[in-house]
Amino acid sequence: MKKLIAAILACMLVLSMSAALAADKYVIAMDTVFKPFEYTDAEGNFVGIDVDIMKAIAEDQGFEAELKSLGWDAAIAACQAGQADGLIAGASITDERKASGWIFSDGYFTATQCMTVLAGSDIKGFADLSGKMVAVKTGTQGAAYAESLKEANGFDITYFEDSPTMYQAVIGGQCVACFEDTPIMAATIKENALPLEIVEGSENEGAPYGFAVFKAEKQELIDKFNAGLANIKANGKYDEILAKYLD
Amino acid sequence: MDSKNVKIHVSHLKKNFGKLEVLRDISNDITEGEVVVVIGPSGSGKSTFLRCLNRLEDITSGEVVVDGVNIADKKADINKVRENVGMVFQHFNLFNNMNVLRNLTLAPVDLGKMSKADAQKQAMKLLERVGLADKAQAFPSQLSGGQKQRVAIARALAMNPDIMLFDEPTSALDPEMVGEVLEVMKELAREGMTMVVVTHEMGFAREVADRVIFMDGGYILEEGTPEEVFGNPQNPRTKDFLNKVL
Amino acid sequence: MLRIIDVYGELLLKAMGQTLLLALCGLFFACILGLIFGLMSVVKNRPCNIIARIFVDAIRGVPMIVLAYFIYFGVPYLLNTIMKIGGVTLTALQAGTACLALNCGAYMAEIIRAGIESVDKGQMEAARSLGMPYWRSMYRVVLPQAIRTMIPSIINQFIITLKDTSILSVIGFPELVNTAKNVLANTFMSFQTWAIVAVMYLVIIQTLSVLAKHLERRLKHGL
Repeated sequence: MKKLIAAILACMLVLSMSAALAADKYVIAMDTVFKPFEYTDAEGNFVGIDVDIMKAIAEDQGFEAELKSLGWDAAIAACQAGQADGLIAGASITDERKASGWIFSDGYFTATQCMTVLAGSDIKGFADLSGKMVAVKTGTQGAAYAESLKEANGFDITYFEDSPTMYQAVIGGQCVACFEDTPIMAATIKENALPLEIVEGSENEGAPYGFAVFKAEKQELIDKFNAGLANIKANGKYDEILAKYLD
Repeated sequence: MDSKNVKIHVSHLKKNFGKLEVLRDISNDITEGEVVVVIGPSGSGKSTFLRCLNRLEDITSGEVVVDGVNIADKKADINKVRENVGMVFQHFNLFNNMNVLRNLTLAPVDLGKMSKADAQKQAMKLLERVGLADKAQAFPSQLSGGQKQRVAIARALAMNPDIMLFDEPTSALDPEMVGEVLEVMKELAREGMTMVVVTHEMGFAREVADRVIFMDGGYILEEGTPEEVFGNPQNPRTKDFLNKVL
Repeated sequence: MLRIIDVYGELLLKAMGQTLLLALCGLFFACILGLIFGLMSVVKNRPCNIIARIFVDAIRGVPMIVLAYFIYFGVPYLLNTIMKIGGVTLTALQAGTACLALNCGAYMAEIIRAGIESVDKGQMEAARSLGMPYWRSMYRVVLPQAIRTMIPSIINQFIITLKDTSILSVIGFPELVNTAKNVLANTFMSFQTWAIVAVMYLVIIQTLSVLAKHLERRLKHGL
């Protein structure tokens, strides 16, 4: 019995030491599918712009990043609960989110948003949406863009939880259009040969994506991210990553 | 009693439950005003026989003609026949969701036999007859076993049937309540109701029956007046059974 | 938390209304389906029994989220693309109602079957022996008694179905969970949002439970 207790205590000691040794290890929460920022490729590897940027910055700054693909809602909750240190999930930097106590890094990517319709659709502009149903993904800038146009153009919005379901709603005819980040939309249509087309001239000015932490004591992680981001932009690593996913 | 006026004619009745033959070959005629008591050991088929008389059990083969209608025929209007054949069950089967009065008026009113007011008037008369007029508003759960069975008899009578079937009407009763139910049945018999009674009450059979039928193994083994069957049984199985119960 | 209530309170209340609307629509049709398939499983008719069995087993064997995707996307696809019946689209409310009705209907069918079977068969025999037809006996005598024993299970199923409306957030129906995800995406305030939503569900379900208890007392002898 004594031996057993001793063994357990020893294990706990080792574990706590290893935790202490890995003080520079951060848990980063991410979305599950937000192509091409994060997704699982055909080989089962978790990849994407967010993934590669995070890895590159961690390497540059000499910390270990443990990436956890939790999903959008769970990633937010995990940071609030302290289960994760930071969040990188194509999250736009908004004043409302800052007002809730979140701290954002410098923008690491600026995407414009656009309207996408079924190929050959009658919808040529926002005015054609009057009385129709529009699909967006919860919490995206696309959703915010659609919301800003809703009143003036008299359409309704359905909120989906992931992009594939949103596209399906347009292809299936449940909604006439969807609003999505332009590079993502273009890449997805091309890659999957979807019967969709981006409406010309429907882009907005765009908003930057940021890495985010919830607590002020995580400020050092933001500083490291910003420093690392500047470095990989300077050494060409950043452009390399974008080129890999956005062409 | 006009022996020619046959109310129920049974010929070569057979009833199987799956592979089990419960009634093997039953033929019998029951005439108007006759009180027939069916006795026999449990499993003899006597209850099944009774339940075939209003087709609560599907008839495997043979004929059962009630009031001129062969109810073994699937096309027969069984509901019409049943309106004229009252049945009293071992476990009363009063409608638990209705008070006593509604138990008596449900079928006559629902089947358009009489207006609600008439049905209620008749129900009160019937309840008086079975000595339960004061229980009209009670629910079945508030009655004793004997009271339930008397209500059940009144309910069957509410359709003004000319035949009454009794399926072990006193078997589920506490001994002290048997008498009150038998009393009601005796009175019915005196009034000339055609009755078929499955029972273990040999005293009742002796006193009231015009004819006693002894069944065993799915056959009618012996029948006759109570004096004949009880006083001088011919079949050894009848003797054996009577020795055990008397 | 107060900021969420202040800014998004109205939106969340509207979503609660949508949750109730969806639940009521779903439950209404679930009762009809449940009654039909429940009765089909107790009548003396083999084909009816088998159809009811297949319905119940098929629906119970599929998670509701799969059913939701299938109805919302699969059914129009089947009709429009495969069967070439053009122009069929389902709104999220229609698809959600169908989904809840099928799911809850299957469980209701089982509750109704069990309820009817719990009524002593002597009740049916007594009614039949008086000359009452099968369905009249069922309606007047058996069902009213069955309903009394079914009520606790039915209320339980209602509550489950009410909570199951949250699954339909995946097809974009703007009920509480779907709306809450929007609120938390905007505010990034996860716990506060979910706490408000939890309280709202609790209020609806408690109200339903109190009503149910009241109803149960009233039906002491059956309907």
